[in-house]
Amino acid sequence: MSDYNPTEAKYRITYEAYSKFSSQLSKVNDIDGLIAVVSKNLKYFFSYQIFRIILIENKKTLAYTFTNTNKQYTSSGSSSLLNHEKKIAKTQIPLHTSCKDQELLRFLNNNNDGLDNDKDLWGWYFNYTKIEVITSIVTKADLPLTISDVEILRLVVDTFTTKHKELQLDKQLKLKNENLKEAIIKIEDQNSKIKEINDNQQQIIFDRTDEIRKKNESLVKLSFLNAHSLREPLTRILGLLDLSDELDSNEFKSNFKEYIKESALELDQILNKVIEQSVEAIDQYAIKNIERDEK
Amino acid sequence: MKNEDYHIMLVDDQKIANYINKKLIEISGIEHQISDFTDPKKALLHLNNHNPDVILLDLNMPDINGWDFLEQMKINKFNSKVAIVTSSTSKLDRKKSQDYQEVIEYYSKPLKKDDIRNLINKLASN
Repeated sequence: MSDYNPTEAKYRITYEAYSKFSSQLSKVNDIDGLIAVVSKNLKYFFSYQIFRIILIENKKTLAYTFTNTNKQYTSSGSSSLLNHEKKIAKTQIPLHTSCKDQELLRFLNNNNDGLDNDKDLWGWYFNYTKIEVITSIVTKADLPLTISDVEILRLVVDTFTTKHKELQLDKQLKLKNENLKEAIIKIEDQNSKIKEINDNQQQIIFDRTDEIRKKNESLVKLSFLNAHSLREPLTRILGLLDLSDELDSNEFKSNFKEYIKESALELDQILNKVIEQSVEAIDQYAIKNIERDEK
Repeated sequence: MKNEDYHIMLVDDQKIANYINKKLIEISGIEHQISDFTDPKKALLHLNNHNPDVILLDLNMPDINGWDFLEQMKINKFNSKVAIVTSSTSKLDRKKSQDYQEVIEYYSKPLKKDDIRNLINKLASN
């Protein structure tokens, strides 16, 4: 067994406490978890009555207070800065005085152990990228901080600040992702609405065009009937009538009546067809108009 | 006017139409021989070994219409002259007929006695 070295032993214990602290921190995924882990482990690093850490980022102030009775307080806004912290923020000079500040000591109410004894107040200013950190510790006057305590305190503040920042970024990222998702859903919704309107319009255009095309078809059919079929039997009747002025033979006479009749009947048939198709076209047009008016 | 023996072919799916035209040719006093067909296919077959001076051709016929008939004549190099006799009043049809060199006349029905005379005169002057 080696010689007992109190400093070395303290370092070893602190190192073990710190590695436990680190491994617990790595599992933390929100600010509440961070506070809980700090609160649980802080007493293994140094003896304290009150430990406060203030983070100032983008003019926003967040204050976390831990007591030796495992109580934690969180507040935000510049009003949560205590007088001595305002002074540290301004001067950035470390502080070590006896602690008389009732506003600070009220965190220790109900603590019989504390109120009567003399207390010391320690404070430091740290500047990280974009974040200012002010930390203060209240200790019993007869149990002051050692240099190694201050070293580990510095380490704890570092770790806390880094983790805090990581958690906040994480939170912001989640929030942005959610907003983005919402925006995407909104865009998709609007796209489908636009598509619906487009489809609808195309359908209307298609329907109307189809209607016109059909109407044209029936018109062409009708005019074809007129140009060819309708005139054809009529021209036969006219031709036969012309001939009757010239021909007087029995052969012609016997054919004449039969041919006139046959041609007239055919003309009647075709006329009926033309009338039928015109009526049909008119009816279809009327029905379409009524349907459209109803819409 | 030369009263030669004209060979005239009638192609119309309506037998009455052919009858009328036949009678008109008879009345005109022109020496003639007539072959009449209500089936254009049969008329085309007839053209294989006959060469009428003129064909009176209807346009609106089922299966083979007047235009198909003209195309077939072109393919088979039948060089009879053609007078279209149609019940159509369509200007498009009249215009289209000018694309065929062998078409020398275009009549709207009913054909008149004078039309036959004029047609024969046109043939004679060619």
